[in-house]
Amino acid sequence: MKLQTKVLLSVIYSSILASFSLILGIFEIAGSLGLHTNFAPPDIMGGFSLIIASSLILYGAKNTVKFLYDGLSFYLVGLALLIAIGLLNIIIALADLLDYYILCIGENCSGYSAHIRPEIYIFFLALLGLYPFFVRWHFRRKVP
Amino acid sequence: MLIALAGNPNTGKSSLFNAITGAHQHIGNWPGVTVEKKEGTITFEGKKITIVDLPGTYSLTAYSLEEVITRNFILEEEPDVVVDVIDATNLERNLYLLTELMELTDRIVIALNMFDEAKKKYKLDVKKMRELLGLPVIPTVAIKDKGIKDLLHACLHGYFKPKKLSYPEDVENRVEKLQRMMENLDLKNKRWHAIKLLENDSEVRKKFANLGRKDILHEAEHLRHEIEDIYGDDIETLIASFRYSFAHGLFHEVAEPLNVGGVTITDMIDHVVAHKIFGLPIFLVVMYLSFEFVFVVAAPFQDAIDLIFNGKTLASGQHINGLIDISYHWMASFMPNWASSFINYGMLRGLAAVLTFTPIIMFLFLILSILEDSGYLARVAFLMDKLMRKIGLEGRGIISLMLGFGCNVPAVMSTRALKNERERELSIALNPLIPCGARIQVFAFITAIFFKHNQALVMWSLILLSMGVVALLGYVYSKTIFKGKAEPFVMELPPYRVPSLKGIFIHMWEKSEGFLRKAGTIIVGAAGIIWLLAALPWGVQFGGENSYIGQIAHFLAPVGAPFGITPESIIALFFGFFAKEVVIDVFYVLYGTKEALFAAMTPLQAYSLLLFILFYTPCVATLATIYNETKSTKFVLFVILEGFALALFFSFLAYTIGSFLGVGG
Ligand SMILES: Nc1nc2c(ncn2[C@@H]2O[C@H](COP(=O)(O)OP(=O)(O)O)[C@@H](O)[C@H]2O)c(=O)[nH]1
Ligand SMILES: [Mg+2]
Repeated sequence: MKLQTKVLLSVIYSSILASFSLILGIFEIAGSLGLHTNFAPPDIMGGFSLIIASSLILYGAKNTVKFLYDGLSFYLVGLALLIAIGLLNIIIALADLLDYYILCIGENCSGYSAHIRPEIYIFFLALLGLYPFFVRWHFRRKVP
Repeated sequence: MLIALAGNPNTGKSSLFNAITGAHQHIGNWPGVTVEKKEGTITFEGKKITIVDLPGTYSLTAYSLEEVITRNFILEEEPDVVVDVIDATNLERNLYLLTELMELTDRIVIALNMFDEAKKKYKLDVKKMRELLGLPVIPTVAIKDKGIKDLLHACLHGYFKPKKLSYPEDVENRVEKLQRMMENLDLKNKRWHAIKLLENDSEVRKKFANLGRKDILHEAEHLRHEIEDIYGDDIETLIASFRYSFAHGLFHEVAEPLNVGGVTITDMIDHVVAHKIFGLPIFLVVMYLSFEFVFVVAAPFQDAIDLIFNGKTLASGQHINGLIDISYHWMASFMPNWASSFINYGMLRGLAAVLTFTPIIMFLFLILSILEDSGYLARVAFLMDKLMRKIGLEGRGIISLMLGFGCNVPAVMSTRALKNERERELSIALNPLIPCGARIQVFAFITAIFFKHNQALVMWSLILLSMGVVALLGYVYSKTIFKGKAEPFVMELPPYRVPSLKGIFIHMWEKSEGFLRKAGTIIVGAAGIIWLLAALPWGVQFGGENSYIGQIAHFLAPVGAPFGITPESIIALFFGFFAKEVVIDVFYVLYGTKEALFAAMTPLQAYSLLLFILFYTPCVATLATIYNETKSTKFVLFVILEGFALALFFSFLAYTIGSFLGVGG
């Protein structure tokens, strides 16, 4: 496969992921304003973070395909934020688990019922979008 | 012959000095101060040359010792040549000092150091630079001994016909007017003195006061006001901006960024995080992620510490003993019960309270140190510069405000980084309005009880409100009490790097040290006093209506009524003055359980209380720090009043509107 095609594919992939995250973010905000949905936990700042991260990816997508640093910058910072958000949610889940067992000491608790936020899936999916980073040296400053 | 090396810090002055002098150097101190002075002697082309390495400075104001040493040396010792060592990779920024040096002396040789690195960054037109400046410009690579001979040659035989920066006419006229008044004074560089007088330079003003020339000082003051009126800006900003435009223009004439090779990761990140539209939202997201991280990760640690010390009461009513219970029983075996109770449930529990909230503070400082060491905070300062200027601070003001989220004590101390006294005071006045880690801890406690389902939303409403109030008050203050504009300053943008663990922990420790000391003393003491008030007079029910604390609560009841604040809360607030965390302790003493607390207030009352806690007077430790930094009782009183005014205003507003609308009641 040509390098161009590989980059194009990974950008399309990330853009789809970003679009999904964007919608998720919007619904998370809507959820905290009273419009509950099943898949989006209500979380105003969490939703805002998703919206910003995915907007950066979508904003940078076009110029990334054109092998321009300008695009790649936005694209990568957006992905990095998305990964950071996912990582945070993984840490939150682990800390919650730990906290649950600490608070359970001496008590007759039922097992921990994990509730996995969609951001955690996004974390793993976003890692796959990083491909253009590895071909960074093929990028240019400006259109020649 | 005497040559002085001047330049910004880290431009390679010392490297150049070593390259020139080799082993022939002497290290001492500048007279009377502990700033290092390096001197060396060499013979070049048969001439004996003495070389002095001046302290690194970004400008030549009177704000720092280094700057004063540098300019006085050049002014008084009159070196034959001043070599301005410029970091050519940061050409534009380094040119600012050049504009100031050129006002001080004509005999300047410019060493374009780090030329090896600079060549990778832009195409530099050295010849054009010589022409534009009328001074010798010599590319050097100090660490490879390159350009040293050329440099020395230029010092001996150079052609010095500097084309100086000239100010707009209405400024130049006034400079000349002042110069004429100095005619029969024995001063070395009258133009420089005149400019500095217009700039309101404290050292130069002192000099004229000592000379007994009040007339000149008065005239300078008058002329300065005229200029400020003409331009509608303060003089320091104006003069600096003239110098910048010179540096900026020169830079664009001689340097052309290369469009070859890669862009560094730093460039790429900066392109986005300092973006004029996306920069601010990204900053908010980073803040949010950081705070979320702190609270979530701290929680299990807090609960574990709480469990170890305080034990717990199970749903069945059975109590698992914690360390404190165990220690109480042990001590009760050889001392009276009341004494054991005082030591353990009074003092020791206070200590345990301190320990349970340390995780939040430690993690907050951990994350702030990471943000700082990675280089991101410098971008925040850069990004916020424009906004911060609207509230009368330079971009770096945001950093001390952010530190306030950890603890106001180190935050107030960090305002020392602001060079300008007015900005410092403004920054100190605003800092206590930022909710510190301890207050946030209290919020977390109260919101967890009253706003189970909207905890994050309520917490964020408080944090955002405090930021809004800081912005608004900053704007108002900078137009009134702390009138003035922020001094212009070149933002240093260090490359991003993965911070070292050691560095992070050192910085984290530096910031938390003072906080922990306060915690260990004040909080334990306050907890002891609260215990006594709750246990006395002899024989009453602990914390009950007849105890002293209960009586005080009863007495205070009418005061809090308009705000929906309960008497118990007033007592909690009072003790919160010693340290905010104590509020939680008082609630436990007075209410016993979280359920009782929940029953005692409506959510609206709780929110009104939260607003009060958000703003009312900073704790004793913060006030003491503010006094130390300002040496002004008035300032401390001002901060207290400011806090109470805001607290009363917001909690009254929330409670009245809330009651009227019937929400949360
Ligand atoms: N690449 C490069 N590095 C240099 C050059 N001159 C100095 N340095 C480095 O810049 C850093 C600061 O140098 P130093 O002499 O301590 O600067 P000073 O603070 O101005 O005295 C050191 O790490 C030097 O090794 C140069 O010409 N080229
Ligand atoms: Mg040095």
